Amino acid sequence: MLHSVDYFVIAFYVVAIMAIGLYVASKQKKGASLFLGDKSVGFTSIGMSIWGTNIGPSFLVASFGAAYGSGMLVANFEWMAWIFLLLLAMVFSPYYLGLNVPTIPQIIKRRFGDTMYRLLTIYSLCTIVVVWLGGGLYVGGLLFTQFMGWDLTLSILFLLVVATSFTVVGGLAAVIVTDAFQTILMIVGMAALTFIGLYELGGVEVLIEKTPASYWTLIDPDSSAVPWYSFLLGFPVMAVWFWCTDQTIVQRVFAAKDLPTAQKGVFLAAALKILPPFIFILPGIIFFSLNPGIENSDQAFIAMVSEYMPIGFRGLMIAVLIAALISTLDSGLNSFSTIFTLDLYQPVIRKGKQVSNKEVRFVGQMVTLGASVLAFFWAVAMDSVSANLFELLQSLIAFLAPPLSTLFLVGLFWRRVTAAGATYGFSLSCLLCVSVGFFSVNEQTFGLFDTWPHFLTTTFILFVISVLLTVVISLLTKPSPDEQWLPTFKQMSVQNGSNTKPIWLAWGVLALIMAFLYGGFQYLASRDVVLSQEVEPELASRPLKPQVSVYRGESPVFDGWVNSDEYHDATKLEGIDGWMAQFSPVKDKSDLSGEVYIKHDGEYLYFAFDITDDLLYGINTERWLPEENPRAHELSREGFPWFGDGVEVLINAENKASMKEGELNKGNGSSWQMVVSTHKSRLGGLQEGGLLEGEERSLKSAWDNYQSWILSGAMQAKVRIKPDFSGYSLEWRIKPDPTMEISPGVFWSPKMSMTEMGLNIAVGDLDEPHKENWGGFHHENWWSGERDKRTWLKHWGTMHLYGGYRSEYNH
Amino acid sequence: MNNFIDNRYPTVNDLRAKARKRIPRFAFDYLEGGCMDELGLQRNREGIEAVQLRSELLKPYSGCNLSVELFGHTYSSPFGIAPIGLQGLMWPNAPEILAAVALKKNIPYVLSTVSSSSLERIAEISEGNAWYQFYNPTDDSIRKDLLRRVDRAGYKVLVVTVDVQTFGYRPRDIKNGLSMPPKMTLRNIMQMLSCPRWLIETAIAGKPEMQTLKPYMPKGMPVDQLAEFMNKTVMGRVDVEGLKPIRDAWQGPLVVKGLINESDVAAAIQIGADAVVMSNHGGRQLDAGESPVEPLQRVSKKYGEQIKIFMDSGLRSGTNIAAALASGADFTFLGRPFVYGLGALGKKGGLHTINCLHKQMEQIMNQLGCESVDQLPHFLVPNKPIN
Repeated sequence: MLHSVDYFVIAFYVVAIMAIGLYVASKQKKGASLFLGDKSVGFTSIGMSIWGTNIGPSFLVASFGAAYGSGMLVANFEWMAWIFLLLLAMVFSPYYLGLNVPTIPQIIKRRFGDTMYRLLTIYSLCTIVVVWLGGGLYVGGLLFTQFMGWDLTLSILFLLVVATSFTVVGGLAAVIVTDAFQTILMIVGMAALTFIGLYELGGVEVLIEKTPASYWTLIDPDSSAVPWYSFLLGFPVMAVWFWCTDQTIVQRVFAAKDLPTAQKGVFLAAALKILPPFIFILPGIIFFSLNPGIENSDQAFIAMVSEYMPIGFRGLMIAVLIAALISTLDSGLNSFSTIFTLDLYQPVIRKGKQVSNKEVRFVGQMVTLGASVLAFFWAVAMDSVSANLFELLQSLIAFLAPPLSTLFLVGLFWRRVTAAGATYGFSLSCLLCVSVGFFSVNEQTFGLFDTWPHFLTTTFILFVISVLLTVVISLLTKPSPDEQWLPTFKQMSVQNGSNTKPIWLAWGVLALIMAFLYGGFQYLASRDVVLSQEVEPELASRPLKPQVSVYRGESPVFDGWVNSDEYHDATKLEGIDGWMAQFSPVKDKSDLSGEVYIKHDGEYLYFAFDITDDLLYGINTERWLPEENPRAHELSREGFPWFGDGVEVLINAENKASMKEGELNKGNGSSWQMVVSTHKSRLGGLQEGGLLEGEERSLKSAWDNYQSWILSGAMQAKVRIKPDFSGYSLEWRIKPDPTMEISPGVFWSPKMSMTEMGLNIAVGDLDEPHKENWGGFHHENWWSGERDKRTWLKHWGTMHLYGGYRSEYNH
Repeated sequence: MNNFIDNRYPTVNDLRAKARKRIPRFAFDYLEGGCMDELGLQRNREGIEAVQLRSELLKPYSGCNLSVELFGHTYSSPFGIAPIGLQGLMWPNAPEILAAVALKKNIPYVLSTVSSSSLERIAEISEGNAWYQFYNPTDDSIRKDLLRRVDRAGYKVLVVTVDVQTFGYRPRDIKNGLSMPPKMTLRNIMQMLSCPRWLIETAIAGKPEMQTLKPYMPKGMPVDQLAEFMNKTVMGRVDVEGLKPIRDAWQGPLVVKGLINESDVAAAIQIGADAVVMSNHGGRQLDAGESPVEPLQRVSKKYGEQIKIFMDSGLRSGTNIAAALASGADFTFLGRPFVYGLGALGKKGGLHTINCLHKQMEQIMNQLGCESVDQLPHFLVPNKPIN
């Protein structure tokens, strides 16, 4: 699917991103920190980098797929994030910058001492490998494989080399600057996809018209996918962990020159969070409206790109995916190296001795390389181990959150927490979370519960347990000399001393925008509901006329036998036994039931009937005659053409029906009613099934028209009795000229736009003489109409006759 | 609001300059271009610019009235919006915007058969006041179906274009590989990207397609073959014999558009047409074609009593409109200026262009001392050599 232009675009992107990264690296002062980028990073870079780090390729593809499958609901993860970014900017950042530390574990060291510090270092290194490096790289590699057709190992290696190159040399500064660049690329690329999707679909109006209203809802209390209480309870636990305490995100705050810069940067990231639903999620919904037939919604993204993106832009979209991966990967690599070097190498391996900047830098670079090697093997290993492990790792993210969220929320803001309480609480809840995660993912193997609660509910329960553990152990233990109070929030604010009014104002505006967005989408979601409520009573009070859309299909073998293969592309009308009963209602499907298939092949309009009828008149029974007409079998206007087992089709091609009571068809091309019987035929005499003239017999012109159509072959039918006498099948085809005259002298043609016609269909069943019904009929079931009025033009149903194939209309 | 005029663009030329920057090149070229060496375009301008008017200053004067009665309806201005194909390509929703503003300002809007909007939608927007421009499809069933739709939708006036015997040889479109919808080539995409406003509006409005004709197009046909198909099936040659069945089928006023030759006008009168449009299709069909001004002057003298005579091709200002009316036209049509207006000003462009032209006309009428449009021939400077 890729053109050489696409490869050029991809290559250009890769070269550009490495050049930018290496250029930033070369501009750095010698001996500058790899980890904090000299504390010189501007707020735009911080904001874009947080945003870009957060959006990985798996997120991109998965949220696109979720939107394709169920609409806007997934946008909550984006549009709720600002609350936690607000928390990071206004509550956590003053601490982080006030304490002037480079890593999350060192903050905890200040508060709880060395044991907790070591523990958290290990925990942080593990989460970085699991969340940022392993999973991301594996999924990214898989996507890359699908697009480029490369081997998975090669894909992973390629991506890793690009990400590692400038991260090793340039450190955090290079990571942040390239992230900003990649953020722009992602926004532009996805905006292009959204644009092209809307363009192809036919604009915003068509999108709203074609998308189910439920797709727009952001608040769905009845959602089966994510119960609302699970989201409300569990999401904050995850979000606090992810946005406020995870090294990879928070390192950007540490790198800020001062607090206002950090706060502005985080605010920018929050403001940018308005975008993802519009450019990552909306295109998924657009694609659903364009092409709702994709079974595996994970494939939706790739399908849309290959179907709608022009040459050159496909390469751009792959570059977007690589950008999403690399902006996540490089951040993970750098954070791993930061924690390892500063929290493990310096204090443990070098036993806290003074280490030169040069050495730190060198070690950091080696560790980055080491982490990338580790990530490589990890990702390759994930491919060879069962898919189950991959799922486990994915949901581990949800189970990793409670311990750290607890540690920060309770530990930083409640002074009574002791080092022992923190350490044991943290360790125990880690153990608990990992094992619960393991069991929940491998539920099929263990079968502990019938149904597990939603993973977000589980997250919340685990959070409560770990808070309880921390609190109880703290209350039972005494503070140790290792620990110390952190300054209170008030002291922090005073120390920072900056004017926070403007930034609070900005957050207020953002909150208003968010409220507006939620309101807008809820309005969209509610619109149709109101509409259908208005319409319903009216519909209920009048008889419903059925409608059917008929399209072009392949020409069937015209032999009387009907199988669903040759009519797979036809429109099927089912449930004949439940149609309007002119006589006795059908109680037993073997008595009378079946289907009708309708389609045209550009030349003929086909009606194919597959009928179950256990008692066939004149075959399983005597050819008895009705009391009403001893000449019923005469092939003249005095006979009863429809007397017997058979079907009738009525078409009103002109589609004019006055509301007049009792107005019947005209008996010519504009409207008619004809019969196919199982045991008699105009062409074949008394024994053969086939076409017969129909109503109104009393009208000589009608009779003559019908007869001329049959004799000229403008209308043909073939009937087959099933070998076991359980019923019959028949095929009936008609030529639009002369039988479908939509206006004087104009006959329907497949070249016309969709044409509406009146249509009715009847299936008659004659068994042993049934004296209780007129003519001795047992059943006569009609597709449309009311009893005794079913032949009135105004009671017929509607056929929407399309010239082209069904697939051409997005129906 | 109804009298909105944006003072930055007092002339059509100002609008054109702005629109050129805001409409992607391939679309602007389609709007702008003529055929072959585009000499006809120039000749159209020269023809109308050569017309001179002479004012009467001391005669008592009680103000001017620009309204014109056509087919039982009184229009507020002596000009209408000529049919232009693929309008939606040049500016998203152009037919919708122009049809709505034409209704509001009470001038006729003529919808093209090869429009980007369906005739049903425009009928709805114009509340039945739009005119329908009709090519004579070679395919019988398409012709009948199309006429049936036009009738059902409630169009009052049918304009049959008879000067598209061939598909105009337009070098700009050939170079651009123009198609409808536009092909997503890198070149086209770059041109689209350089017009962000157009891009956003197009995304909101969706892909421009020939909505009226969509039902007749074979599905899945590559865009480059589509033009040829349309040319073969929809834009058929119309001669007198071809006009007769249309005249028989169409009950309302019938306008024959694209005549330049006296004998053709006579033939149109013969078959019972209600009006003719003197036109050379905006210089897009025959590069050596003459400007319609001089033929108009002759034809109006000879047949002015027997049939309504309209004119288009090359009109860009109130002065040009007055010149055409003075040359004997009962009514005029302009095409490109309104699309320039949309290109320059978006949605408000239609209103602005109509108001500008109306205002220019008013000034000319007052300056001449001409009280009503049908008196304009009186102010024509005679015997001025044309061309």
